[in-house]
Amino acid sequence: MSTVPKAVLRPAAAHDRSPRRRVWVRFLRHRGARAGAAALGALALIAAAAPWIAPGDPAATGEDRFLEAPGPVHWFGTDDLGRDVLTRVVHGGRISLVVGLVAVGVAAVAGAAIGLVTGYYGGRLDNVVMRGMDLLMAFPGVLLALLVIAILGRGLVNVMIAVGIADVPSFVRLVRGSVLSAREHVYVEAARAVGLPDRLILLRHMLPNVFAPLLVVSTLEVGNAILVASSLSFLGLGAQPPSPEWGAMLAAGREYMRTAWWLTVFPGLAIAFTVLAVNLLGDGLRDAIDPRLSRS
Amino acid sequence: MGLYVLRRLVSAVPVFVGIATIVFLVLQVLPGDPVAMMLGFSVTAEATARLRAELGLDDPLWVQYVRYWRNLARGDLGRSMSMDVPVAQALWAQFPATLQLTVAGMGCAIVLGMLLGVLAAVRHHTWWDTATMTVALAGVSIPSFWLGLLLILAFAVHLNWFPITGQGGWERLVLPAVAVGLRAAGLLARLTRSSVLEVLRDDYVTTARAKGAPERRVIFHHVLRNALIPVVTVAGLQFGQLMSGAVIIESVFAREGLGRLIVYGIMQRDILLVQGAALFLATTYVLVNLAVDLSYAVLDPRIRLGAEAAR
Amino acid sequence: MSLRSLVALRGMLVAGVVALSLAGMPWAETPRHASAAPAGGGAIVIAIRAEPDTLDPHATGSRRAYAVMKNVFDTLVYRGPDNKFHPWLAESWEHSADGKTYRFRLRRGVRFHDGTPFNAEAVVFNLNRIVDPATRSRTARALLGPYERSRAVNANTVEITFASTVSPSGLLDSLSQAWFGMVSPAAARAAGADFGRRPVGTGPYRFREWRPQNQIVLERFPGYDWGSPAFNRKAPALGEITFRFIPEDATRVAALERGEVDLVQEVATDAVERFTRNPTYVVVRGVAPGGPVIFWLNTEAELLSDVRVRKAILHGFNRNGLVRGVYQGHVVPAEGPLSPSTWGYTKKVEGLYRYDPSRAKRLLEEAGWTPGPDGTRVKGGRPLALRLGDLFDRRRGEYFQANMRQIGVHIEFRLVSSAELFGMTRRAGDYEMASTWYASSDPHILNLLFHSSNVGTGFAISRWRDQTLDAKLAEAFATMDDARRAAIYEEIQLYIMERALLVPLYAETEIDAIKARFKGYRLDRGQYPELFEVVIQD
Repeated sequence: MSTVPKAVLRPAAAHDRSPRRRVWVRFLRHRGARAGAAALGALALIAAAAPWIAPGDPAATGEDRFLEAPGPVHWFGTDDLGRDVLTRVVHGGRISLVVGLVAVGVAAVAGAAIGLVTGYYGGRLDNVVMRGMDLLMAFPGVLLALLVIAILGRGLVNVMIAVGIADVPSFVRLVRGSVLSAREHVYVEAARAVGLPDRLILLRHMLPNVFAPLLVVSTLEVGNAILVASSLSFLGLGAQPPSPEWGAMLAAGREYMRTAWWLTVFPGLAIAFTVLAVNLLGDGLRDAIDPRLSRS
Repeated sequence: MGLYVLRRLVSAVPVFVGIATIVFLVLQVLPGDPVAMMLGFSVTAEATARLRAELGLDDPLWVQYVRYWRNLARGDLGRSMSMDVPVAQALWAQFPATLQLTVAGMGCAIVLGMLLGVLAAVRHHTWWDTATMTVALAGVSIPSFWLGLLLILAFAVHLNWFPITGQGGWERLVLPAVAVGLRAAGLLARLTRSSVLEVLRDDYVTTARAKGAPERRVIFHHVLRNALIPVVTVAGLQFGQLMSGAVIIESVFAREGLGRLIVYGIMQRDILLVQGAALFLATTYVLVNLAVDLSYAVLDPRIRLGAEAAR
Repeated sequence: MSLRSLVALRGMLVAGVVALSLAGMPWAETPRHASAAPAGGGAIVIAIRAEPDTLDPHATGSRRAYAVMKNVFDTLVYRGPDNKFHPWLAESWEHSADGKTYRFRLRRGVRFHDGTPFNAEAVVFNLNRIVDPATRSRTARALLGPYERSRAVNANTVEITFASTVSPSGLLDSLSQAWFGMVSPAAARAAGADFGRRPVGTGPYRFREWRPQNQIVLERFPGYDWGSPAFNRKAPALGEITFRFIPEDATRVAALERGEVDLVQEVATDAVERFTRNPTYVVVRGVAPGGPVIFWLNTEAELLSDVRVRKAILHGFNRNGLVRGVYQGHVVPAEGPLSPSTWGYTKKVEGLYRYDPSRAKRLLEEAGWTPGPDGTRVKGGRPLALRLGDLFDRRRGEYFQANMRQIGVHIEFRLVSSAELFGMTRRAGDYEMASTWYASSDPHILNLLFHSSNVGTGFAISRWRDQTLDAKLAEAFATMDDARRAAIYEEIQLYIMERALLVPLYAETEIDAIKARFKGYRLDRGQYPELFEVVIQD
C-alpha cells in the first residue's frame, strides 16, 4: 500500500488548501454567522462558568423572598420557592446545551455510521434500512419523541434518547446520499483495486466529503433538539425537579403568570436566544460551505 | 395521471403497515409490567391473569399481530384503562379539536408566511427585507409553547382581549393558532422570499416589464404563479409539524384534543391510549402527505399530461 | 419552471382562506352550557381540578368523583356540619348491644332516576356489590369493615350483620359518605362495567352528559322531595349543575374572573386575595378532616429502617417555612396522622418534632451516616438517597428537597400520576417516600392507612406491621362508646408519631371562590361542595 502514490488514493480536494480557506473566509464574512458564533460562544462560556458567576445554588430556597420581582439583588427575580431565577436560568443553560449536543451528537454518529455502510454496500441492506428510515420519518415531529418517552418513561436522559432517535433518519439520508454519489468516483475504484479495506475507504474517502454538510445539519438540529427537549420538559415528561431546565421552569411559572411575569419571560427568552444563536451559526456555516444553498 | 395517482396510493399502503407495526411493537417492548400499570390500584393475581388473557398477551407474537390487524380492521383499538372507555371512541371525540387547531395554524402560517415572504422579496435589499426575515428567523427559533404563554400573558392577562379557557368561538382559536403557525410561517416566509426572488430574475419577467406591464400585474400574474408551487408543497409537508405543534399548544391553552390525551396517557401509563393516539396521528400525517402528492398531480401539468416528472 | 395556469395562485390563496375559515367552524366547539335553558331555578358551572375516573361510587376513591357523585346519589344517613348524623334514605336505625347487627328503617316513596323503587332489597344489593370483587371497590370496601351479610327484613327494613363489633359512629360515618351512595340495582345490572359512565341513583340530580376531558352535566331530578331534614329545604333549587375540568390553577381562576364559571374549587393560594377583596365573590374555606397531606416513610426500605433516620427527617423539615412561605399561610400545619379538624384529633402530637436541623444531623451521625464528598451522607459506600413521588404539587416536594439537602439527605423527587404512584408503592423496594392525602370525617381512616392488612394494597404506604398497633386500631373501630374511642385514637396517634412512620406536612384547606349571587353555598363535612341549599339571588 505504501508503494502506491498518494495522489491516486486521495481525491484532489483534500490536498488543495484554497477551497477550505475560501469556506472559512466566507464564514467569517457572513454577518449572521459571526453573530451566531459570538452568541453561542458567550453562552457556552457562561454555562461552563456557571458555578462561579451565577450567585448561589439553583436549588436553594429562600425563606423570605418568595416571588420577588426583578430588582437590584435578584436581577431576574425569585420564584415561588424563593430561588433566584438568574442562577437557575444560567444553570439551565448547561442542561440545554448538553442535551442538544449529546442528542444530536449521538444521532449524527449513529446516522453517519448507518448511512456510510448502507450507502456503500447498497443492495438489500440498503433497501431494508431505508424503508426503516422512511417509517421513522412517517411519524411527525414531536410524536416520535413522545412515543419513545411513553416506552422508556420520563426523565432528561430519555428525552435525549428520544430526540436522538427522531433525528437519526435525516442524518442517514444525508450521508447515504453523499456516499451514493461519491461511490462512483475513480479513486474509489482504484482504492478497491489496490486492496484497501472497506472501512478505510469509508473513513478516509467518503466521510470527508460529507463532513461539511453533516456539520451544518448537526448545528441546525441542535437548535431543534433544544426546542423539542424543552417542550417535553414543559409537559412534565423531561427534566424532573429541582432541575432548573428552562422548559420545566416555564411550566412551573405558569401558575403565577398574572402575578410573576418574570417566571414566564426569562427562561423562554433564554431558550429563544440560544436557539437563535445556534440557527445563525448553522445558517452561516451553510452559506459559507455552499453559497448556492443560501437561495433555498 | 391515473397511473401516478395509483402508484402514489399503492406506495402509501406499506407505510401504513409499517406505522401500525411499530405501534404494535410498542406494547411488546415496554419495560416493567404493563398489565400491572393498566390495572392501577386494583391489581390482584386473578385480575392480572384475567386482563392478560383478555389482551391475549400470553399468545405467541404472530398470533397477537394477526389479532391486532383484525381489531384494527374493526376499528377496535382496545379499552383505555385510565378513562374506562374504548380508545377509539376517546380518540374520535378529541380528534376534531386537534384537527381544527392544526388547520387554523396552517391557515395562519400560509397567510402570514406568504405575506412576509412576498413583501421581503419585492422590497429586496431594503430594511423591510431584513425586518421580515428577522421575524421569520425568530419564528423558527422561538419555542412555540413559550410563544403561546407570552400571547396569553400579553393579550389575555394584561390586555384582556381574549378569553383563555378551552373551546368555543373563533376568539379562543386566534392565540393558539398563531402560536402553532408562527414557526411554519417563518419557514414559509423564507421559502416564499427566495422562490419569488428567483422567479423575478427569470427572462419572462424582464420581458413583461420590457413590454411595459404595470408592476402589480408583473408580480401577481407572472411571479406568484410560479413562485408558489414549491411553497404549496412545503406547506402541505408542514402539516405534520403543525400537528405536533398543536399537540403541545393544546396543553398551554387548556384545549381539548389529542395532545392532552397523549400526555395524560403517558402520565397514567395508559399504553393503549398512547398507542391509539400515535397511530391516529401518524396515519393522518401519511394521508395528508398523500393528499399533497395527489394535489401535485393536479397542479403540475407534466404529471397531468402523463409524463413522469424527473424524480 | 414553466408557466402555470391561474389555478396555482388562486388555489394558494384560497387554501389559506379556506383553512382559516374551516378552522373557525363550530363543528369542534363545545358550547358553554350543554343545554339552551336549564330546568328552572338557574344553573351553576363549577370548575374542578381534574376529571373523575368514574362515577361509580363503589368503585372509586377519587375526590373529584365524590364532588360530582354526591349530587347523583343519596346515602342512608347525612353527617351535618354539627357532626351529628341525620336521617336521609334511612329514617331511623338501631343496633344490637354487641355492635354486630344493625337495622335501618328506610324512607318510603323514594325512587331511582330510572323509575325503579328504592327499598331494602336495593340496599342489600348495594352492600353486596361493594364487597363483590368484580366491582374492584377499594375505599368503600375498606370502610365497610367486617361486613358479613345483609338481608331485607321487609320492604323497608334492612338488617346488616358484621363478623365482629363495629362502632356506631364509625359505621354511620362510613355510610354517610358518597362511596356508599345507593345505586339502582336495575341500572347497575344492565350497564355492567359502563355504570361508571352512566350513573343512576336517587339523588336530587340525575346524570345527563359526560364529555371526556371537558365536562359533566347534571340536571335536577323532578319529583325529588326526600332531602335530609338536616337541609333547610326538601329539594334543591338549582336546575342544572355543570362540572368543568380545568387542571391548570391559573386557568381555573381566570375562568371565574371572566364569568365562564360560577364556582371554582381549589383556588390557588396566590390568587385568593383577589377574591377576598372583591364583593362580587365569596371565598369559602374549610380544613379537610381525615389525613393531612403527608410524606410516607417506607419503613421496609433499607435506608429508612432505622428509626433514628426517620426521626432525623422529621426534625430536618421546616414545616412553618412551607406553610407560611410557600403556601402563604393558607393551609394549616399538621404534626400528626390526623388533620386538626378531625373528630378525635389530639393536640399532644404537636411539638413532638420541632424543626431542629442540628438535632437531625446528630441523629444521622448516630445512625452511622457521615457526610460524603458532595454533601450527601453515606454509610458503607451507600448514599442516603431517597425516592419521593407526589401526585399534585411540586412545590412541597421541592421545598422538602431543599430542607433535606441541609442535613445531607438527597431526595429524588418526581411528580407522578396516580398510576405511577401505584406502580411505585406496590413493592417495598421501589420507593422510600410517597405523598398522599386522604380525607375522611372519621378517624377510622387510620385503619386504612396503618393496619398491617393494608400493606401492599396502595394504602398503608409506610408498610409498618405491628400487632400492638393493629390491636389498637381494631379496638377503636369496635368501641361503642365515643369517649373511649377518642381515647384510644389518641394513643394511636402518639404511637404512630413516636415511631416516625410519616412526615405530616399540612392539613389541606379547601378554598373555593363562588360568585356572590349564589347564596347558601357551603362545604360539607368532607369539604366537598354542598349545593343542596344554594339559591340564586341577584
